[in-house]
Amino acid sequence: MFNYFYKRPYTLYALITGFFILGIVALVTLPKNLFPDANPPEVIVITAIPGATSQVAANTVSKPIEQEIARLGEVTDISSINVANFSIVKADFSYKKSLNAAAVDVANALSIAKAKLPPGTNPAIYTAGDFTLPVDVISMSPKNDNISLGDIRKMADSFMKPHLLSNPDIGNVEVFGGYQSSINVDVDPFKAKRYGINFDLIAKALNTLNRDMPIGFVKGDNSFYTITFYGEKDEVEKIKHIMVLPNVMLGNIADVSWKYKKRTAGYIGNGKPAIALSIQRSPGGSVLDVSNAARAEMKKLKAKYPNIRFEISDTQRDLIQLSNANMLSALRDAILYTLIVVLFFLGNFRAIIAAGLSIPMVFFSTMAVIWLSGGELNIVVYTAIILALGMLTDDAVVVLENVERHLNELKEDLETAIQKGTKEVIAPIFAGTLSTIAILFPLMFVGGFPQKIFKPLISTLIIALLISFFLSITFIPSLLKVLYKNGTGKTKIELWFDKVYQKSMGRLVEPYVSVIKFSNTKRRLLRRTLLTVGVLLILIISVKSIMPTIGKDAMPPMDTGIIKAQIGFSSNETVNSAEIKIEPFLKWLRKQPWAVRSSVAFGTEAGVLSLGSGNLPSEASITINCVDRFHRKQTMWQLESLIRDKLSHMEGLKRDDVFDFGATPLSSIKAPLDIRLKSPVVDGLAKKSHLVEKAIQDVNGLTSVSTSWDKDFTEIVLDINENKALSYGVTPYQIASQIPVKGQVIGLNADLQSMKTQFVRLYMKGKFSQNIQSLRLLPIQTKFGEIPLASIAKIKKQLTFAKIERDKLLYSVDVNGYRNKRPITHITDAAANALKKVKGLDDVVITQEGSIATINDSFNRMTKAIGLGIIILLMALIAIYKSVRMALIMIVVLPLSMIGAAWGMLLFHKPSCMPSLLGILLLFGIIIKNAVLLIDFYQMHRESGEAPFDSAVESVRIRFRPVMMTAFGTIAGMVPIALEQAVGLERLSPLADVAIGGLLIGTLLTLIFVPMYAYIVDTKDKKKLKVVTKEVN
Amino acid sequence: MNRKTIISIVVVVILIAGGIFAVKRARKKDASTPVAKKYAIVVSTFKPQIKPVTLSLPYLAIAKNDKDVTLTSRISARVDYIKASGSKVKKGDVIAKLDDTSIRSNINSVKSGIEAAKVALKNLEATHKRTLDLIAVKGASIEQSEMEESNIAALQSKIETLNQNLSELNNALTYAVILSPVDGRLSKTWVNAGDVSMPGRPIASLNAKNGFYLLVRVPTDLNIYGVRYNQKQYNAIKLNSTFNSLAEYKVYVDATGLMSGDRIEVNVEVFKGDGLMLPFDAILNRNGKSYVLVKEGDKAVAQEVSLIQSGEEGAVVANTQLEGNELVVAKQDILLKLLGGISIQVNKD
Repeated sequence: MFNYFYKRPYTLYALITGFFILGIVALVTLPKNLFPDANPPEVIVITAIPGATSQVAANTVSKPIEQEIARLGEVTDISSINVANFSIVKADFSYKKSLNAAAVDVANALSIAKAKLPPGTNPAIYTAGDFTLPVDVISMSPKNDNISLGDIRKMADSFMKPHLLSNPDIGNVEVFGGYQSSINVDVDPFKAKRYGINFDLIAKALNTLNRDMPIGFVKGDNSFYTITFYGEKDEVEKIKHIMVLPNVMLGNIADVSWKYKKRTAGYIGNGKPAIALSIQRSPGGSVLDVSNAARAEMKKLKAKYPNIRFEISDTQRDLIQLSNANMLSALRDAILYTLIVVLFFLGNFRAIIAAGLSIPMVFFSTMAVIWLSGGELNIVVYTAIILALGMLTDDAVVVLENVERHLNELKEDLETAIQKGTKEVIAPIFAGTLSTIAILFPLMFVGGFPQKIFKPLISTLIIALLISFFLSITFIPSLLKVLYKNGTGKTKIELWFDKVYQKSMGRLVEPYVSVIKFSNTKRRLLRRTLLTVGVLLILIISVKSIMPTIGKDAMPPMDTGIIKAQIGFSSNETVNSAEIKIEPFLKWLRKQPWAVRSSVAFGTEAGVLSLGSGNLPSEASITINCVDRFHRKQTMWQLESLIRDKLSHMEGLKRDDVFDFGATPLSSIKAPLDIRLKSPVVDGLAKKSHLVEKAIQDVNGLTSVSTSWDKDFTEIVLDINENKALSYGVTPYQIASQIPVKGQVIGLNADLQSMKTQFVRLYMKGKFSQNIQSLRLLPIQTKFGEIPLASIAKIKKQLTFAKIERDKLLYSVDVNGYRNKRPITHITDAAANALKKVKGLDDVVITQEGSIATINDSFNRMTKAIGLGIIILLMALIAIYKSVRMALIMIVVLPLSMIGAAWGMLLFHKPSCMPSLLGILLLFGIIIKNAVLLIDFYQMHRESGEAPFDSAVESVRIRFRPVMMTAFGTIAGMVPIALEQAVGLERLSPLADVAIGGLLIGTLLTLIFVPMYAYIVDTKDKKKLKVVTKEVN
Repeated sequence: MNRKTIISIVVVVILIAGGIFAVKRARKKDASTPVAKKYAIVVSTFKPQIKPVTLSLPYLAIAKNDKDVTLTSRISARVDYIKASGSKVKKGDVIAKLDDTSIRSNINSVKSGIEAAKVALKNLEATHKRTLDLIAVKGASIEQSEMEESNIAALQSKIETLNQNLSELNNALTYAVILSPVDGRLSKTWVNAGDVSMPGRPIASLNAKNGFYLLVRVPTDLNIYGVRYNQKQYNAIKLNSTFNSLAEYKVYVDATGLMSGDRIEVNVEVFKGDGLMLPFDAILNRNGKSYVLVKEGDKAVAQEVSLIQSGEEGAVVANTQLEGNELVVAKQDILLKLLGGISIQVNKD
C-alpha cells in the first residue's frame, strides 16, 4: 500500500481532500443526539373501558391481553397499569426484534384476545421507544380574555396538530391538557320515567343525529345516565330538539349543555395553565432537525394566533447542542494536550507538525465514514475520537522517528530514508493497530444494553485507527519529504525541550534498567519470585479491597441540568384542586435564577404517551430545565434537594420524588431501586408494600421512597337491605338505576352478575363527603310511592384501588427508591438486607427490578467480551510474532495494569461501571501496543545475535522514550474526558479514569516485567550464543 | 543500605499508607451518605367548638295546598257557562253556571204546592173550628173532629216537607252557580259548556294562591327540626301518620307561585342545637368505626368518636371533650397515612 500511494501523490491528496470535505459536510449534517438510542422496542396497548374500575379493567381487559402477548416470541416483559376507565398494557421486546415486527405481532395477538374482551372495547396499539421522549414541548396559554383554554384546545386538535403533522420533518404531535369540549346530556330519571322513556329510546334518538357513536355512553339496561360526546356549542340546540317520543323532546327530559369534558388531565407550562403540543421524532430521526422544524412552525403559529402565547416548556435541544459543542472543545483540548506531550517527549517541531496535520485528517475522514454509513453524532462517538487521538499520534511519530534515525544515524538520503524507514515500521504499526482492534472487536457483538451504547464507540474507534494507520504510511511519508527538505537540524527551542526531557523523564531510565539488572544477579530465582509474587499480591489486595468499596453502577449519574419530579396528592383530589395547590411552588420556581423552564403534566389522556401516561388525575410528572452546570454554583443534586424540600410544603402531598433525567439506564426501569412485589391476588399487596417501604426508609443513599399505588381511593358503598327493598317491591337493581340525580354522580358500578346485587359503588365528584349525605334522602320510586334511599340502604365509605399494576401476569406493586450518587449495588444490597428483617412477605414474589437488573446483565456480557477479546488478541499476537511464549508474556502483563485501574477508580470516586469496563479493555489495548513495541525491538536485537538479557536491557533503554510518550500522550488525550468538560461526560469519565490510572501504573510495570520475562523464558540459543561469543573471544 | 534503598522504602511506605487511607476514607464516605428525609405531611387543622349547630340534608319535598279544591256538581244539569281554565279567580268569582231551569220550575211547582197546601190548611182549620163549635152543641161527632185534626196535622207536615223541598231546591240552586271559595287559579276544567254535569262529577279544579305546604316524608328514626326553603326557616309539623312506614311532616311555607304536586328542593334540618360539629375531612372511617386525629406535637393520635348526626354541613359528635383540640383535616387516605406515625405540619395559609 505504501508503495502504491507513495508513487501517486496526486491520487493520495485527492483522496484525502475528498474525505476531508465530506467530513466537514458530515459534521454539519449528521443527526446529533446525546447518547445512542438504547431503549428496546416497546409496544403499548391502550383500551378505553368507560365506567370500569381499576379492578374491572385489570380482570376483564388487561389479563386476556397479557396472556395473548405472553405467547409471542422475544418478549422480555409484559406489564400493565389499570386505572378507572383505562387499561394500559406494555410489552417490552428484546433488541433483536424490530419495532415494526413487534407491533405486527402484538396486533395479531390482540385479534385473538379480542374475543375474550368485553364487547364494544377497542384496544389501540402504539409503539414506544427513545423517540417517545418529546423533542420540544410547546406550551400554549391565553394572552388575554378573548380566548380560553377550551378554545385553544379546540384549535390545537382541529388545526394545529394536523398542520404540524403534515410537515415531513416532524414525526408525531400529541396534544395534552384536558379541556376537550363535549356535549353533556344529563337525563333526569324522574322526568324520563314520567313519560315512560327508557334509555334505548334515547340512544335511538341520538343516532338520528348521524354522528359517531357517542363516547362515554354505556348502553344497556339501567346503566349510565350521562351521555358525553364531542361536539360544538351550536349543536346543543339541535340536540335539545330531538324527538324522543311524539311530543317529547330530549330537552324536556334532559339537560343538554356544552361543557368541557370532565378533566382527567391538566398541563402547566412555565407556570401558566396551558395546552401542550408535544413534538416527537420518528424512530431513528434526528432530534435537532425535528426541533428546528418545530420551532420554525412555532414562529408561523405565533404570527397566526396573536392571542395565544407560545412558549417552549421542555426541550432536548439545548442539552444536545450544548454537549456537542462541549465535546468539540474537549476534542480541541485533547489535541492540544497531546501535542504538548509530544513536544515534551520528542522536542521535535516536525513531529508536532506531522501529528498536528494528521489529527484533523483522521477526524474528518472518520466523520465522513460515519456519515456514509448512516450513523449519528453523540457523546459516545466523540469520546471514541478523543480516545483515538492518543493512539494515532503514536503512528505518525513512530514513522517520523524511524525516518529521522535513518537520516541521522544511517546517513541515508531523504528519499531512501523515507522509503526504508517507513517500510521498516509498517509491520509493527500494523501489529499494534491490529492488536488493539482485536481486543475491542468482540464488544461490538456483546448484545443487550452494552452493545447499544458501545457499538458506536468501538466502531468509530476502529475506523479512526484504520484511517490513522493508512495516513501514517501514506500521508506522513509524503509530508516528511517537505519537512526534512532542509535536513534534520533542530532549532534551539527544540534542543531546549530535549534537555528538559533528559533532565526529567530521561533520568528514570536508569532505575528501570537497574530493576531488570536486579532480577538477574545472584539468587535470581528468589528475586524474580519476589518481584512476581510482590506485584501479584499488590494486584490481589488492591482489587479485593477497592472493588467492594466502590460498588457497581450501570452508568454513573450525570448532571445534565434536567430535573424530574413525580408528585402525587391524595387519589381523591381532582386535577383542578391539585393545580391550585402547586401554584405557590411554581411561583417560587420562576424566581430562581437557575431555573429556565418547567413543564407539569397532571393525569392521563387517551392516546398520549409522551406526557402523563399512567398518572392519576392527582399525580403529576414535572420536568424542570435548569441552567447548565458550567453556569451555576449548585450541583444538580443540591437543586434536587431544594426542590424536594419546597414541594413537601404543599398540603396533602403523598409522594415527593425528585431525581435526575436519565436516573435509570432504560426508560422501562422505573427507579434506581425498585423492589417489586408480585402476587396472584391483588388483596394484601398494598399493605405489604408499606412494610417494605418502611424497611428501606433507612437505607443510606436514598433520597426518597414511594410506592407505585395504594388502596387509597374513597368510594361509597351502598349496603342495600334486600328484605326491606323487596318489601317495597323494588329490587336492588332498580334502586341502583335511579341513583344519579342532577349530574352529581359520575360513575356507577354494580355487580351486574346477579339480580340480587347488594353492593353498589358510586364515584362522585365535587364536594365529595357532603354528597354522601345528600344521597340519604334521595327519593326512590317504588310501587308504593317514593321512599328515601336511607330507609332501605346504608351508605358507607371505603377505600379501594385507584390504580392497579400488573407485571409478568401477576399483580405487582413497586416500592421505588431514588438516589443521588451512591452506587446502585450498595443501595440494592442494603435494601436486600433490610428486607430480610421484614416478616410477613412469604406469599409474595419479591424481585429487584431497578437498575441492578441492567447492571448484572451488562457486566456479564462485558466480562465475556473482555475474556473473548483477550483470547482473540492472543491468537493475533501468536500469529504476528510467530511465538506462543512471547504472545503469552505480552498478555500476562495486562492484568497488572488493573492495579492502576482500580486505584484510578477509587481516587476519582467512581464506581465500577460499563464505561470503566470499557476503559479496562482500552487500557489493555494500549498497554499491548507498548508491549508490542518492546518485544518487537527485543526480537530485532535477538535476531542480530545479542544475548536475551542484553536485548532486554537495550529494548528498555531505547524504547523507554516512545513507550512513555505513547502512555502520556494517551493520558493527555483523556484528560478532558476525566475532567468531565462536557455535559454528559460524567457518564464516560470512568473510562478515562481507569485508563489514566492503568496507564500510569501499567506502563511502569510493562517496562519492568515484559523485558524481564522475555529474557527469562527465552532459553533457546542461550547456550549457542555463549558458545559463539566464547569462540569469538 | 544506601540512600537509594532508603528513598525507595520510604516511598513505598508512603504509598501503602496513602492507599489504606484512601480506601478507608471512601468506605466511610459511602457509609455516611444520608438517608431519605422523612417529610412531614402538610395538613390543615380545625378547632371544633361547642356552639349552636344546624345540620341539614337536601330533600325533594312535594308541594301541596290545603286550599286546593276540586269543585263538583251536586246537580245534574247542563253546563251553561264555565270559566276558561287558567284564569285567575278571586274568592266569590263565578266559575260555572249550570242550567237551573228545571230547578226553578221545580221551585215554582213546590211553591205553588205550598200555596195550595197553605190554602187547604187554612180551610181545614176553619172547618175544624166550626166542627169544634158544633161539638160544643153536640152537632158533630168526636170522630169527625179527630179526623179533621189528623188531616190538619198531615197537611202541616206536608207543608213542612214542601218547605224542606223548597229549601233544598233553593240550595240546589246555589249549586247552579259555582263560586270560587278561594283566591287562586282555575287549573283544570272537567266539563265544557254544553256538557251535562252529574252529581259527584268534578267540574273544575282550583289551585289556591296561598296555603301551600310542603310534604316531607322521612324515615321514622330521623328527627326533623324544621325545613329551610328559599333561605328561610320553617317549622315542621309532625303529622304522626306514616306513609309506607315513613313519618310525614307538614311545613307551611308562605310562598306563592308554587304548583301542587311539584317537587321542591328543600333542606331538611336534622339536627338543631348546641353541639360539636366537625367537617367531614376530619373524620376517618375505618372498619365501621369513626375516628378523629388529634394533633399532639407534630404527630397525630387517633381517637374514636361516636356520631350523633350528620348532614351536608358536617357531622356532630358526642365527644364534647374534643372541644378546643386541634384536629387534622385531610382526605381519607392522608388521614390513614398519618396513623402510621408520619409527622404533620400545619398549613399556615
